[in-house]
Amino acid sequence: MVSKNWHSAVSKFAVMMGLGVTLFASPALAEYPEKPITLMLGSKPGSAPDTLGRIVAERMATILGQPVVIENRQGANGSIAATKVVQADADGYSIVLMTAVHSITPTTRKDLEYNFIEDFRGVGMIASVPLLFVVNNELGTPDMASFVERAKTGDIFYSVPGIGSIQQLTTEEFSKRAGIEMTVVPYRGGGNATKAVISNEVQLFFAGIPPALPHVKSGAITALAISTPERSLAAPDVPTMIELGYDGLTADNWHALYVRSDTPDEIVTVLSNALTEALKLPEVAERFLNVGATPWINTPDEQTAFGHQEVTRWRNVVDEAGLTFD
Amino acid sequence: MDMFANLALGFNEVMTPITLGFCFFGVTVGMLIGVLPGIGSMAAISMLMPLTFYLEPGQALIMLAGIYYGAQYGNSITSILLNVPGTPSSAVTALDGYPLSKQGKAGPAIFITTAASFFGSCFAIVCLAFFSPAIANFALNFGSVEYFSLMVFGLITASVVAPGSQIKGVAMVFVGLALGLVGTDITTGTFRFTFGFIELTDGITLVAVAMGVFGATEVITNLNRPKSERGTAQKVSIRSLLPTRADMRQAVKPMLRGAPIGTFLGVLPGAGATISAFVAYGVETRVAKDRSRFGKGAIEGIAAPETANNAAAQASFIPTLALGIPGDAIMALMLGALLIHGVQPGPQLITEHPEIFWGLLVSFWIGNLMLLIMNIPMIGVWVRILSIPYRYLFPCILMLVCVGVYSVNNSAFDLMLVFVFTVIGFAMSVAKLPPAPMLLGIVLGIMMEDNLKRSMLLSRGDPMIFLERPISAVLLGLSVAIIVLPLIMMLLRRLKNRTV
Repeated sequence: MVSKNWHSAVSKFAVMMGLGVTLFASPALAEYPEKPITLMLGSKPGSAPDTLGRIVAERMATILGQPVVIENRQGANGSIAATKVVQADADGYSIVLMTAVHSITPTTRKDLEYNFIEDFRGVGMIASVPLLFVVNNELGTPDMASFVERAKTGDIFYSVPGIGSIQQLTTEEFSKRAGIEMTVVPYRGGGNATKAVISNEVQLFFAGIPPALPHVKSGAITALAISTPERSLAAPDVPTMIELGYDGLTADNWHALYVRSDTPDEIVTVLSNALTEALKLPEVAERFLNVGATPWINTPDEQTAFGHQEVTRWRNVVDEAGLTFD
Repeated sequence: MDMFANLALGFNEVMTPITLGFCFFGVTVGMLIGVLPGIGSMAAISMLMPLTFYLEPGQALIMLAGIYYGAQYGNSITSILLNVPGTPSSAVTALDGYPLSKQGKAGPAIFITTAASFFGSCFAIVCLAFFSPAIANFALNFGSVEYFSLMVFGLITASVVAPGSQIKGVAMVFVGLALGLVGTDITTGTFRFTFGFIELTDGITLVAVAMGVFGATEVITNLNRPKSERGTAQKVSIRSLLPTRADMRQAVKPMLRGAPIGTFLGVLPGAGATISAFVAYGVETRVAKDRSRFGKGAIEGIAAPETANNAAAQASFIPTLALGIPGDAIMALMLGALLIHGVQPGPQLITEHPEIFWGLLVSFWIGNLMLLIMNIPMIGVWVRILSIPYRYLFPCILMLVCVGVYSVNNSAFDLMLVFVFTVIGFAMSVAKLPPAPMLLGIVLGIMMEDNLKRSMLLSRGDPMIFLERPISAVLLGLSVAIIVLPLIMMLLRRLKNRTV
């Protein structure tokens, strides 16, 4: 009898303590973050988003005074990671690293379990990863004009790291503008797609800077253009598509942090400030440059608006190229 | 002479207390992780990645690489002792390793797999030192067409990987191929056989299948047996830990065959350790005089696949370093660790950063030596696991399997898959259907289909491309020979009998 009473007393005490903690803790938003933050990633360890995410997370953890734990939930074009964040609480402890593909899937996938526009708000941009338009040297086309001429006469194959990727849509947009037709050959992952253009299995690929540059140096491939609006410090000699006369033909493989759209402003501000502070560190800029990325700083509102623009932009590309996805 | 200077440079890099310390730390962590069933080296490598920002690039890579190849040593131990493979690539080792353990030869089996692992690694390291650029070039020219033919060859060589009925073995390969269809269609992006689970869109997690049909199924079958037949709680004597001279002699030739197979397949991005273990085992069963010994504790059946999968692990550094193209996520992580420091792997790595390339190479050898020295005295400890009563052992196995599978994708869905495949695995064991060929089918199925589709796109629908490309034609020719030769031999024998 005694022990039973004692038991219930203990459990009552525990419940009250628990309540007390929640009651006192919830209004004290100023203390965010008070436990580890999970950063969801939609791609595998070792991928570009993973590397950029780990560089930023490591610094943000120091700034915020709480661990930022990376959780890789690869699959379905990154939509699993996004879905997990929508299903979690809007308390700022679950954030997701989104990339350009998250602005493409709203057009290419009908069965998404979230709505990118309504369910998410931006925290801020991390970086842009420019893509190099590389062609195999056996084609004998040292510049864009000769490549386009060559593409009009013969069969050109281009590789993509997956169907519905930013590389595929950008190549389709380019083909349309240049008035050429090329055949898409899908690979699984950027590594295999890069290998295909180096070995001349295909003739063209929109490759990342770090894997492409050594092979440009060795003379296997040539970089004819870069996809971003401005040239990259990592490949300063490569002209932009705009310089080559393809006005408005740009593709930013952007990487940004997002949270649930109903996350309180105070929390978003804390995260955004930490992100900005991390991106301004010289060692972060250096590491980004080494992996072929350009740091990009903006505000939460700018990021949210940018994401919406990107959805419209890629929807137009898909419609104009007449691409269909099941 | 050049090679000596290069190796001297490498030793110079590695032979500092700090670098040796990182190497030792890496291989020790790797070995311990490898021993735990299901837990791969990827989780450890990705967690340690941010730490490498503050190390020298060479040291960072030496540590991460140590975890990777160290894990290859540990993962055969539970295959042999408990029939619970640590990774899909060591599932093959369980086929003969577990029967050996049941015969009281667990100690010699672990000794031989350790020696085989060391030999396989050393062979691949020598290839790495002398032929890296040439090998990288070869890997580069191995395109979709060649990959497809290689998969056909692998399927035919290794489809016999099963004790007992051949027909059941081949049937399970086809079940595996069918399971490999689950996921995203590469040419259209359509989700196939996912039944509305987004977790299935990237295919069935191989580790979850392996842990289900091997690990968890083994636990259930074992509990289903009368207590006296559970085959654990053995007494272990020191003498029984070491292999006999006859055992060692039996292991030599399989090791010599396994090493080049592993190195060759390891060099090809994406082919990797699992396929090489299966192919090496398949080759052994084909060259053996008495095929019926396999699956009942043949030394060849553990020596060849363990040599091959370690050689493959080591050789997979070649495309990563010399081309800058990683074969899998683990290699991509290591590439990332170098890139962050501004070291760009690729054709110029050996000339631009010789200290990193040769340092890493020497560290491989030193790390493997450390693993060998650490593992031999540990055999006694590992074997003593068998003296733990099964009632204490099996909850630990199940828990480790769950932790390991969860750590692959951080996905609770994969745990459900383990459950489903345990039920399937148990049904299979009742029907005496072998699980190993099914694993092979899953691995090969995805790659075969992708490469077939790409080849047909590139040839604009002309299947002759498989015979026009020389490497592909040779591989297909060998595949046909493997099927036809035994038939011809059989016919000849019958004719001879008739004339007599």
